[in-house]
Amino acid sequence: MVSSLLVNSAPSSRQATVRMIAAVLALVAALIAFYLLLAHFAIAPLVCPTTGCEKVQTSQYSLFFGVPVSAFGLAFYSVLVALQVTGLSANRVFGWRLEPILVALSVVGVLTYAPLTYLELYVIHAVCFWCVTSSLLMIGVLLANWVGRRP
Amino acid sequence: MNTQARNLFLGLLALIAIAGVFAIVFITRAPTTSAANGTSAVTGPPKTLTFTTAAGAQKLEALPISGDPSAGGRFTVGKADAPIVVTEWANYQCIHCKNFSEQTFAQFQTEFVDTGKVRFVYRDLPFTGQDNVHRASEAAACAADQNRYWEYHSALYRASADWANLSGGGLDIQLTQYATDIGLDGAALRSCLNDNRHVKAVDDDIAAARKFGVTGTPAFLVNGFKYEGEMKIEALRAATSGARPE
Repeated sequence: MVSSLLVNSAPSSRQATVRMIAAVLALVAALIAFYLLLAHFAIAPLVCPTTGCEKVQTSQYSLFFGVPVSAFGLAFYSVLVALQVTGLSANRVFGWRLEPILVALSVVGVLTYAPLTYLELYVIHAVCFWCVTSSLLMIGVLLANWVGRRP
Repeated sequence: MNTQARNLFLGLLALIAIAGVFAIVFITRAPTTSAANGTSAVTGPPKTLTFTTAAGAQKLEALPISGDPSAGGRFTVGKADAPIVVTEWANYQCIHCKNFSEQTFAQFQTEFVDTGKVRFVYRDLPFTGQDNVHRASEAAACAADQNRYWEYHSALYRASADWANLSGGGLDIQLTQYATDIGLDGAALRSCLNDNRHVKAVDDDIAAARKFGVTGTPAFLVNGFKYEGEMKIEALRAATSGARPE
């Protein structure tokens, strides 16, 4: 049984379903990151349904080693979307099992939001609507990949 | 998952991506208007200013405005009768404002202000909740009372990371220290802060920013157009030249 699972590279129906959900959530998060990146470089105006976006986006914490945090987000979510899509037809990528990779990436994604949310609440004293939305999407991706870790 | 279902899903993903990009383009194109008092000085759809740099042709979005954004501006440099006025709304904790102040302003001043072509007006725009930036803007106005506004202004940007997380008494001590560091009367500046002497003036700058639909910093208002985002020297050359955004 175990050996058959290891060699079987096709995802189960349940895995395919949750990966589709995770792919959509990660894609929306990637679009948000793309928009915030455009806003950072003043290519797009920062439209914010609540107050706080400007304060967060113009703070010194919006950069990490001189690179906008949203650029890291865009790269991360793009990789995540690609892996989720790959997971629709295979359970392995470059010979590695996909389930632990997806769960590990999702955990890293959620954990990355922890210090960012702390900075928003306790240092910058402002909450960015887009950042909160993005973090909720990441939690959704984690839940989906957690459910899809087994066939 | 069979190939047909997978392809259908990939099509759906592509649709979501395209819809998202369209939404972003729509936001980018929407003219900014003031929601604060129902009136707006933004008078039409965005136009584009095209200019050339060493890196090639560049485009900058410009929103047409009516009225005089420099009216009520307290901090100006340049000849009073200069033919062109550049008004900047900025924020002492904004990285792009700091970049403009530290990397572009000196050349801009040499090229345009000192030659009498341009009068530059700096206006404050602390965002909601940024009490420390509001206080720093008040402190800068207090420095202006001692006729040393621009030196103190530069000191605030230079040290922006150091006071970013300060508030209350600790912030006032630091703001006073910057004043004494550049040879100002620290006690006088502290007294000015304690009296809240320039609170209303900073609020007036914020209200004026709303009127012109300025929602982010830095924003530059030049020749009847508003440009949001950091402007490099090439962009300022184009905006202050006879070229009109089309």
